[in-house]
Amino acid sequence: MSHIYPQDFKYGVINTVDLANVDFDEDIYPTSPTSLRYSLDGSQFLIKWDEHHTPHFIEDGDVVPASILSWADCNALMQTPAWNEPEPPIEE
Amino acid sequence: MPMQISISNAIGGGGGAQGSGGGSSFASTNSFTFDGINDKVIFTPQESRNGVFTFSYWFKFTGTFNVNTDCFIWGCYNNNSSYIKLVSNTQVILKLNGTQYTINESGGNNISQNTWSNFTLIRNASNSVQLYLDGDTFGSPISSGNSFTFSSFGRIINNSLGFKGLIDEASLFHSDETSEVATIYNSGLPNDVSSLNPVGWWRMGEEANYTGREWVLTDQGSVGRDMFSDTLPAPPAQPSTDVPT
Repeated sequence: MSHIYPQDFKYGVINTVDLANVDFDEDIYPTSPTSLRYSLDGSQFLIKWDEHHTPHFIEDGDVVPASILSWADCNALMQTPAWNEPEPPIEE
Repeated sequence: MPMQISISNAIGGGGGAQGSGGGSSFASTNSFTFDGINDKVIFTPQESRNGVFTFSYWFKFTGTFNVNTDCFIWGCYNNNSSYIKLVSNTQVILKLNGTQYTINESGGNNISQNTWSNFTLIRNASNSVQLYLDGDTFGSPISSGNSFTFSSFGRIINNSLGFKGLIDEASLFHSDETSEVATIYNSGLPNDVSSLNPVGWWRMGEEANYTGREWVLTDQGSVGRDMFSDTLPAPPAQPSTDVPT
């Protein structure tokens, strides 16, 4: 099956309090918690998955996403102040 | 978990387009797509270069100019000391070790959206830094001896600054390759740059291996700094077959 990336993916906004219930051995991205993108206040983070393979921890209700978005909607969310800060200062 | 998959288009072993510089059959058949949200490929330790260098890559910009989530092609993953930002089709900001340099193109060699292009950035022995777009100068040279640092394509730092589009055939040289700009551009077809002795060459799709947890982009240059990504999806979502033609 061919994919059109990233349009074929769903993006889940997950509350950080649910991090321990996210199974990174499922087919989600990033595959490691160290590469998660968090909201600026740290209260939420993003994962994504192939739209045809919803993670079990979501299907089973172990994690209830704050929202599940298309790529276009997620991209729009990323440009809001909650997720996008002005260019930060040098961090050497 | 996805199975381990290798995508190999060995130098000199692929069919297809004939590059003019390598002297052997060579083709770029894959690239990586960056979603502008969290995708990146990174390596450690970061490149930090004070002397002459040449840095070339192909990109297809599908985002919006001057939107922070879209327009930073490369930079440093752990800081924002250096980067390139696409401000408009005639303007980029190049940052080297904390200093921003605005480069304006007035001769009509403009950046196109949704089209494959080549950027080649060169600093010569006189600390003159010139950006080339598709084999021709983009803007005037700037003067800077500041360190050129680089460790990431697709995202800078963890949040906010990213790239939306495709990237292919990135190569880095610790040499002034001004005389080879036309060879690198090759009339719009990525060329075999092995004869130019790159210190880093990440083919962005070819010579890449998905381990089941992450992509490993085997460095085809002499230093051997492989790039990694645990944000880019497994095949078949990646790599893309959209390449410069």
